[in-house]
Amino acid sequence: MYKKLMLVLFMCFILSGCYDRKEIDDYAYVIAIGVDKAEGGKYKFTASVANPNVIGEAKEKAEGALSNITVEATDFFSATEIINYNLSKKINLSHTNLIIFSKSIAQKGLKTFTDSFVRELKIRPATLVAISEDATSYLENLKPILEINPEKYFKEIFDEDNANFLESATLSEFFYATNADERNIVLPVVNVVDDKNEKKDDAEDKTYNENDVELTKLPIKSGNKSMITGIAFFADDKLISTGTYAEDVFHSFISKKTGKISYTVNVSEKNDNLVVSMTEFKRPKIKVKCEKIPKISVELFVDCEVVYLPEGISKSKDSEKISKIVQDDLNKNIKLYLEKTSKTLKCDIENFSKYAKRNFLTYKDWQAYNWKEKYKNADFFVDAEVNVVKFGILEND
Amino acid sequence: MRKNIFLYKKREEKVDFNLEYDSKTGKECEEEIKLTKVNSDVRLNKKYAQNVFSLPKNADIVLRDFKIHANGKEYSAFLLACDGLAGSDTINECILKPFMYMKNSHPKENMKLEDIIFETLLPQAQAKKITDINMLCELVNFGFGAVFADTIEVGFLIDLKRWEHRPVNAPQNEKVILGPHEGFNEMLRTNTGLIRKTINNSNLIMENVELGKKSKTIASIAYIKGVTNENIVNEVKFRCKNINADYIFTSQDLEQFIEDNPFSPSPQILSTERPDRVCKALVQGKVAIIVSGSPNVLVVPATFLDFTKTAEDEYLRYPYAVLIRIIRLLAIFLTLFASAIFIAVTNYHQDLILTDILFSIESSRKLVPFPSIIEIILMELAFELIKEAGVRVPGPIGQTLGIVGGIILGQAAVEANVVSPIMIIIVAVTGLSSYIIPNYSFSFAFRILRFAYIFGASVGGFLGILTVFFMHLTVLFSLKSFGVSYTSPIAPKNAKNPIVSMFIVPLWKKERRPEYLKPESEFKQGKISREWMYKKR
Amino acid sequence: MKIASKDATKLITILIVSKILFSDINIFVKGSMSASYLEAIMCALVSIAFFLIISCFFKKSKCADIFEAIEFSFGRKIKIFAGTLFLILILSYTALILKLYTDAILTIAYPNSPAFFVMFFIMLTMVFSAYAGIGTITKFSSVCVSVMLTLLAILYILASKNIDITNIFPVLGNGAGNILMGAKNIFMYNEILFLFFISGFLEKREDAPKIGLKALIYSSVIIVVSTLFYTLCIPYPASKLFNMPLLQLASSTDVSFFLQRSEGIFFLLWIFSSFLYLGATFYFSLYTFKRTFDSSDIKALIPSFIVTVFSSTWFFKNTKIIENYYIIFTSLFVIFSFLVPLIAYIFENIKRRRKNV
Repeated sequence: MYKKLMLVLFMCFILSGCYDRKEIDDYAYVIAIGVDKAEGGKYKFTASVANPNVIGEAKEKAEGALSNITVEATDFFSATEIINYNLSKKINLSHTNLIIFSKSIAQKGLKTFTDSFVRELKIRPATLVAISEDATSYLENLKPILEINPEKYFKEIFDEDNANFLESATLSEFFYATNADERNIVLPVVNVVDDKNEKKDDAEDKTYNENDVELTKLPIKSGNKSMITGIAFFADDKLISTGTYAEDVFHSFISKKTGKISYTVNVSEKNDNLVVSMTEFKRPKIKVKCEKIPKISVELFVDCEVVYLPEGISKSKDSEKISKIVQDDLNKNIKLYLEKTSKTLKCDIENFSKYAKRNFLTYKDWQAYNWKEKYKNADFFVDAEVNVVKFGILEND
Repeated sequence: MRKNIFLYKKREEKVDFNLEYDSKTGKECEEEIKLTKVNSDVRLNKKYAQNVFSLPKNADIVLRDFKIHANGKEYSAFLLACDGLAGSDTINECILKPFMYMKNSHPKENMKLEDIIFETLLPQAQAKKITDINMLCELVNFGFGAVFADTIEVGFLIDLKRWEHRPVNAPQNEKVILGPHEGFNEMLRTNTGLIRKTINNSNLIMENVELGKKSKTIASIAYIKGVTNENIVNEVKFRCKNINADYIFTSQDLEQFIEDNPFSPSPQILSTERPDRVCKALVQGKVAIIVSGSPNVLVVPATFLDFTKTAEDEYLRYPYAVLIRIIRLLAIFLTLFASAIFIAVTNYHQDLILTDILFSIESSRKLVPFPSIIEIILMELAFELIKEAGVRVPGPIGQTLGIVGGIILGQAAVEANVVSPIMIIIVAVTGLSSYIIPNYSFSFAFRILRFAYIFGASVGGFLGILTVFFMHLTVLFSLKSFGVSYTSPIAPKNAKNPIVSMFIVPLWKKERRPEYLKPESEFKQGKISREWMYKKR
Repeated sequence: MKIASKDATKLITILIVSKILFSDINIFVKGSMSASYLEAIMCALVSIAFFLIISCFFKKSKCADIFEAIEFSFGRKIKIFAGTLFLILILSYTALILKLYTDAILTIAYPNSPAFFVMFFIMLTMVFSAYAGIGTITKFSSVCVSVMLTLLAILYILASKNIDITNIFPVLGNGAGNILMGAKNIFMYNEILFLFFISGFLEKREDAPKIGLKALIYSSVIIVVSTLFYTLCIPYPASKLFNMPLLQLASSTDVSFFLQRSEGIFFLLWIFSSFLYLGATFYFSLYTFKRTFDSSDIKALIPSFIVTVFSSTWFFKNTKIIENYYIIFTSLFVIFSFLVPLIAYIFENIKRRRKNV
């Protein structure tokens, strides 16, 4: 009996065809995708393809590790068909690390793109998403200094250990946020930085503290001109505005447990700056009461370590006074930030709706409350508990 | 003498030899004398013996005439023995001397010749009176001696065995670091003696069985009464007695005749060279078959897990035994699956590999012309060739051949861009792991099936591997070894304590005998076997 | 051929649990939104209660399996009628599930292959397991269950980094009424019928009700835990969009120090369960034929049944047809798996009492 079955099996194995069998070197692997706007309702897609010979040989300088191909088409999957006419190998999207959308597209809505990416399983749901002024120029100016493998560069620059208050979002998180009710997301912004220090006139620019400025205005000289320059706020799937450095810090304070951020407080008119390094030792406590006007209270628990101690304060050498200075500063600034989200941006960026839901038993009651409208008039109470732990290894004196 | 260059000289014809059937049956002279019982006329017996052994052509067999003086009369007699199997000193001391000298025998008056010879003239530990002449003549082949005397219808069978054999050495193939270094040799009674001295219990029974219709090789079936299930013993005896073959020489021949499924890749009978392993198996409730002339002893029934254990597992302390067991299971897994998973991942499921490794693999393959399946099959075949060559090459060259052949072949193949370096690593790992499997015939199963898994992987990726795995498991699960399911403690889970039967447990915790053997007495240790911990001094 | 009771428990557990690999969890989510795990608990309790009612009569029955009970209670003609209906149902159900599995496996890992490629491997294993018999199938399930449950446990542990406890608020979801209506989803447990088929092969016939109860409890725990994790990890309105919830959970795991994309490991779950489930149901369809028409040997039927099943898969052309037929078939199956045993064992009890009195 077994002999006959084995014979049938053998014959059938040979006839079956092996449709999916492709060697590793028959594929071209795309590392990053950029989406820009082009004329006539079309989009400009850029694919960064990795060159394995340059990467695998591990030379010192990796020039030509990534090659960019730009195509104009109506949607991404027809663009891949066109790219296949140019490349000798078939495109494989499973190793993509980063998808960049340009600002103009983001302001109109990203839902069609991200839904189609999630629908096809080819792109990993853990791919990172970012916004840029011009995606093509970001990818073309990318020259990583410390790595040969560009895929590693993307993995590590968006790693949470790298920059303490970095926001990064994956494709699946963006999908959940755009398809879920009353949930919003924040995406990082990447740009190409110029050498020239062009100050843009923006009278509405409110600075929270001394270090708060748009990063594109600071001249940074480096071999690699492409870098992360801030965050972008989204309502559903449309871009509302970009945020500054300080707003990035406040957002990460409230939404997760951040560690070791340096924070500058201006103490007196002599431009004395007190710099502390802050850690949150507990998650922030958020309580929302849903009445006619929602009342939101935020409690932060912060430990700090003094780094820069100006002359005017070291004479009093009182850690309680220092903590009071930092506490007042934090309370004021965070309240300003939250009121900006409520009144100017009119969007629940910190996702307080998650806590508001606890007040209702069924879904219908929640929908009848209409959180979106009510948030525009919300009241905020911010209380930060600051504890100055130590002054480094130096004594108070 | 001038050579004849121009003239034609006839060459001598070579005579060709072609094999044809024997036209003369040559059986005319064999049936001349038909005797079933020993005749009182000693000349008839002599003629029969000369007929049976084709004397004097058969120079091995010795026929010695002599005369017996007893009761005042003279009787003619002869001795039949085999030179080489029966020691000549023994013949002289134990048969010819007493008969010829008759110094110390003082027979009573009017005793029968039979009794005189048997009770006073045969100073032998084992001597018997037998009437079947056929049996007497057959047993001469095994080292016995036969004495026939005139006027009596009985022949005497005397044990004269003394031939050269190998001493009790360390076993060749199952070496351990801790534990006894005794191994079986080719003598039946030495082997049974080693077992009996270790078990040291009168409940141990060794039954004799004859194998082969013409060779009549003696085998012993050993079991412990009161522990082993009688049905297994009866089944073993039934199978041994119902083999229609002329000659069975060794235990490996017997194994192939009585196993359940000779076509399956896994062996169903365990053969071992160590007496301590056989004794532990007997204590558990199994049956051992010892065949004369072969140092391998068969232990039945055998399950899948028995082949993955060595003798050393019970001698090592518990933590070390656990580590060794894990390494062995990992080696079995790697032997089967390493090459197949590599092919499935690089050909079908490239999204599983980390991107760094992906680029290294891809850049190392850039000048290689063959697809990866053909590379792997080439390297595996080369490795098998090296293995087989290493077995047959004599002495000291054999060890270096393996290393040198592997390194040179692999390195040269990589330099010539025939294979990529990753393949060499995978094939080397697979080959090394197959050596860790303790049982020789069991490792063959994995060496064969590896190719089936590579085939399945190349056709269908993970789906192909799992289909082949499924079929392999089907074959394994439906196998039986002497009435016991082959995957016993795992698959039909009828053990009362499944953890003990599947995993390694310290020696002082093994209280029960295995359930699948259905033994007659269940417990062999008390619940607390280390009683000294709880007793007062 | 005798089956140990532990193996039989595992066989039935694995047959019931294979449902979570498809869109059956979404039925709970669509019904009660954020309280889907409560609905799953409700469904489990109802089915366990139903089974306890059946087992009261099942304990006292002396027939080997359900076919004998029907013949004893109603006569031979009714048995042939019911058996033929069930045979047609189970063959078409096998074809539907075969199509579902091949679509799932094609989507995950073999995007360029035609459907025949994957169907062919699965059909091979179906034929093999049908030749090997029920003893081998139960041994398989007892080995494979531990592997599959380990994989599931690893999946939940790795996916737990995405847990957001606010996803289960509002607590009562769509309302308490919808939670109680979860009882209509009893079709999740309708493979319990196969217990009444194999009760003739068990070593101890008295163990059969215990086997069923244990299998129901284990599988309901797994289904409730899966639903709970799915609700916790993926927020509500996005969660009803997915075809295969467990695949989405698997995509969100991250073993990035070793593998790029960890779906490839959890893909083994689909393959294993397809072999086991389809092999077992194919064997049971042959067994139905054998017991309905009292034939002695069924090995000659295997090629013809396989060809029937394969050609029936051509009827299910697109997802809309598959969904409609799935609802129809599972509803019919519920009748056969819960109502028919109840009626058969009640009548057998009554008839035996009448005979004794």
